[in-house]
Amino acid sequence: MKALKADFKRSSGELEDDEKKAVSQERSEFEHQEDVSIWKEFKKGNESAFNFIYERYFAILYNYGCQFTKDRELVKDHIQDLFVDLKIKRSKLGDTTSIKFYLFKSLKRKILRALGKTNYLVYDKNAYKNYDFEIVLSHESHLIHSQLDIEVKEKLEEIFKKLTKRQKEAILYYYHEGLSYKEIASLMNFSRVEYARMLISRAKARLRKEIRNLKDVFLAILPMIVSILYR
Amino acid sequence: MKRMSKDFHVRYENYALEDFLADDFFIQWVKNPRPESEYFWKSWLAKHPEKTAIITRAKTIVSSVNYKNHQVPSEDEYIETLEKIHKTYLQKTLQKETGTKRYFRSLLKYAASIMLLIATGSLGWILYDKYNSTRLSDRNNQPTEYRTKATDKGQKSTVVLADGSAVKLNAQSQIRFPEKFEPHVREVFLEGEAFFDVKEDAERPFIIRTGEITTKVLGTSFNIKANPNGHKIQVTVVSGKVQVNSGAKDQDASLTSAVLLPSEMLTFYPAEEKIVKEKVATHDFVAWKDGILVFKKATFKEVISELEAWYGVEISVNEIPADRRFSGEFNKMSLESVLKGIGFSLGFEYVIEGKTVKIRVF
Repeated sequence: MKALKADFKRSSGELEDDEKKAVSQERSEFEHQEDVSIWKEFKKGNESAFNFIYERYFAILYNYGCQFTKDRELVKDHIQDLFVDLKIKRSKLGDTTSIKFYLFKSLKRKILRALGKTNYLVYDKNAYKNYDFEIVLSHESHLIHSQLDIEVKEKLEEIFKKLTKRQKEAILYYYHEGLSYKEIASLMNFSRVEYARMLISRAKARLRKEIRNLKDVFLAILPMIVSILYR
Repeated sequence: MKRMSKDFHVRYENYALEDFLADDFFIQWVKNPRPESEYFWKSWLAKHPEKTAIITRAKTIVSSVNYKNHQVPSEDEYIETLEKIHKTYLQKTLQKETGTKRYFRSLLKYAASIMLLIATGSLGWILYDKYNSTRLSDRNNQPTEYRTKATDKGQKSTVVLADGSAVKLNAQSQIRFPEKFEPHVREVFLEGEAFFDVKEDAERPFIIRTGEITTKVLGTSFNIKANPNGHKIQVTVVSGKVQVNSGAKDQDASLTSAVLLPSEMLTFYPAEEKIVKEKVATHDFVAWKDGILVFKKATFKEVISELEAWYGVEISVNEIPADRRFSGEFNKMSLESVLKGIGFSLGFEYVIEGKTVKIRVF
């Protein structure tokens, strides 16, 4: 049974790889390139670099935009607008080491402006009322989690749930989008990078403390469980 | 990297799950692996194989942080938005350009590859050409130096332009192009038929003036045909998407507008300002460039003039039967074999004498 399972896993894994290969064949040119060089190619007028950027970021931007508003049409309109702008200003654009950050920054500005938050630079509690930016720790991963890890995830979700909207936004940039503190600070209009770091650090400190406790509890009751089982 | 790697190696030895979950360097590796972080973690794990399990767990947990309301666009939304981007972009760049010379807004293409076929009357081209060249010299203090390449009957020729774009001219065609293109536009004038392979340059659109239409592209390949006797303009798209706008020469407003998808052909009748859009087999319209002669329900007259142009011969006929039509394809075949084939189905005899052909219909 074990061997069979392993075999199955391997063959399905190979299949996945083959599929991926077929899909990405056309864009393999940029697949492993750094953002800097993809961006340079795009600025030079390379149409396939544009297509690659669109393909890679459309769904990401779509989801991102949908965190600010439920109006999907508005989100799509502004993604469209964003890419049209990029194409028009193509040769005049600056360099970027993170295309994702560049796109996020522009899209957020466009959407907030459209939502009537002309003064979006100023922190406005009401402005965040319609924000989504709720966090989940997905369980759909193909990896098998130990009971402990499931508890860790639940604990994290609980911790994240208690955060403010802005902290949640920052956490998603940090853990999901993989953005740097500098990028997060810029996206959230912090005047100093340190503020972004602080915001996230506080959540992280809680996370460390609570998970440690969790494990202590788990380890404490483990001998009990074992003794019950072996009685 | 080297500087910190030693400290790091030690630092991570005592890390527990929660420490990894809160570590910037670790998280950056999970989210954006780069050659240097890959190298670091791989060698660290090689040194500390017992840590593989905890690293895997931490990685999985970090990767599972997601938007609760994760919205996924549909395939349609993906495509539609991309199409709108191209369309809006072309409209905007066109508006910018035609601000001063907006007299015939035209064909725009925006896709990786595209093929266009356009047929139009040559009279219209001459008028347009005169108008246009005077206008061009008005605009520039230094008149652009133009060169002309022309082909005779039975000839085909390839021209490479200043930007590296290639133009394959069919028989009885002519292209006029500047020695050096202007900074913001690449503009050429075509009479007859040509297949273009345009180098991509989004900053400098490639514009082909053919009779009453302007074909604007930002790169890639297409075919244009100016039929000497035609009173119509035809645009055939093989792949990609094309926007066609047409309007009176001296008026600002474009009268008609249409978007063409692959395998669609638009026929514009300048006299009536009428547009007809239909589905066609694009192969029939671009096969010439590969040496394939195609007839589709061609009238006797059309067959004769096509053969004259293709093989560079003079054909005399004793009569022209109006009711007979011919369809067929000839792949790089001699005039003799082609005449044999067509003669059989249209019903005629022929004699080839050097550059002249005598046909007797029976």
